[in-house]
Amino acid sequence: MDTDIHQEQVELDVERQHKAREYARIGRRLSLIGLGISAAGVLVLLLRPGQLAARYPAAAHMVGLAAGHRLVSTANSGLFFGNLPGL
Amino acid sequence: MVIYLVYEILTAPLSYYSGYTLSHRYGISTMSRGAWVGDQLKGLALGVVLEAAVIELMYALLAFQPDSWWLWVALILIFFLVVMANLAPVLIMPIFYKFTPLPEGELTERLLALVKRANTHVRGVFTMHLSAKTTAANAGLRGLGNTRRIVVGDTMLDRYTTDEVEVVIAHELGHPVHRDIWKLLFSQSLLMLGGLYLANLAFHWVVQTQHYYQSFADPATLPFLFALLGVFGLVVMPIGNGLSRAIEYQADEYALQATRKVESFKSAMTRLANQNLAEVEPAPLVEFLFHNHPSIQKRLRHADEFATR
Repeated sequence: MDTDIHQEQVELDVERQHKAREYARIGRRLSLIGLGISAAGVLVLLLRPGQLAARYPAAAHMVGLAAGHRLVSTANSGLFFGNLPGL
Repeated sequence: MVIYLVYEILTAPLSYYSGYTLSHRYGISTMSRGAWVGDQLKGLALGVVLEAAVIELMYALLAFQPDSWWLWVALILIFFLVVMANLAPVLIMPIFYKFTPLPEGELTERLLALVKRANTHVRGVFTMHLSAKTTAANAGLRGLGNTRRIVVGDTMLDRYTTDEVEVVIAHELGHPVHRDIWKLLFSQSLLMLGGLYLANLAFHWVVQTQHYYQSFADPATLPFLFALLGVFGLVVMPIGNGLSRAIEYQADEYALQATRKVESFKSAMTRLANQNLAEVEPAPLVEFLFHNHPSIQKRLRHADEFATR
């Protein structure tokens, strides 16, 4: 297979760059909001661990799973399933 | 279960807005609402199975090996990482994307010649049908060992010249040439060991000294564990990203040396910026904290410097 596109001078699209900056800015804000929600969820559970574990051990387990997943994935720490090289 | 559902309902609008609404508004996503929800459900099912297995294992080790659990967990996770990197293109990625072998022709021949020149091996060259989900272009090497293959998105094949695709794949082949996969696995393993060891110290402190929890294996410790690992992940994220940027810079250097196609490299980068809505020159602090690739501006400058050597 061959691509039929011919080499030409490719210019940076100024309008798309403007959109790119906007898109990146919104994306970062949403990540921060997600991180904040996850951190708040974890904090709520941290502040009442004994009570929660005693009364709702399964629920504590599940919420921990969900909140922790969001927190860790939002942090994009790469600790467990980190990024391998891309483009 | 009620708390879990409340949590999911609370965060669902954010996931929907960032994953569906926003990417449609900016023309990145081509997915229907139903397809997007389907992908989320598949990801959720996969995540729950894998994460539940990891968490159950962690708490079993916490119960039976309270002093050395962190070391066992790290060793098992490192093994798991390697296995997953190997199986991803044959087991995980086909759940989300369709792959077909790239038909024989000049491009396939040139890519396989690059593989030979890099003194490595692949299982073949595949088209990844990205256009069913996104307008963004991507390409790379996927898999590890006997599953490694070249994957080129159809969103790249229909817009880039053969020279541009060739230089992009040359960049990807720079990673096995420099043994980057192993470098990243090693560095992530070190971070994982460090994070779990610190979590172990904190666990012993809160359980034995502060008596916040009944035992190490108390399920109520789970949020505490994730908070620790999450904070640790945030703190070390710039370190991992810095290492990744250095590796990517070297892969660019390899691509330029292997192909000598500076103009194709620059036009491919510019097309990627235009097509993928990538910020060409992010703020230095943003790049330092969040970017695992050098900015496109730096990559273009690198190509210009290469041309003057």
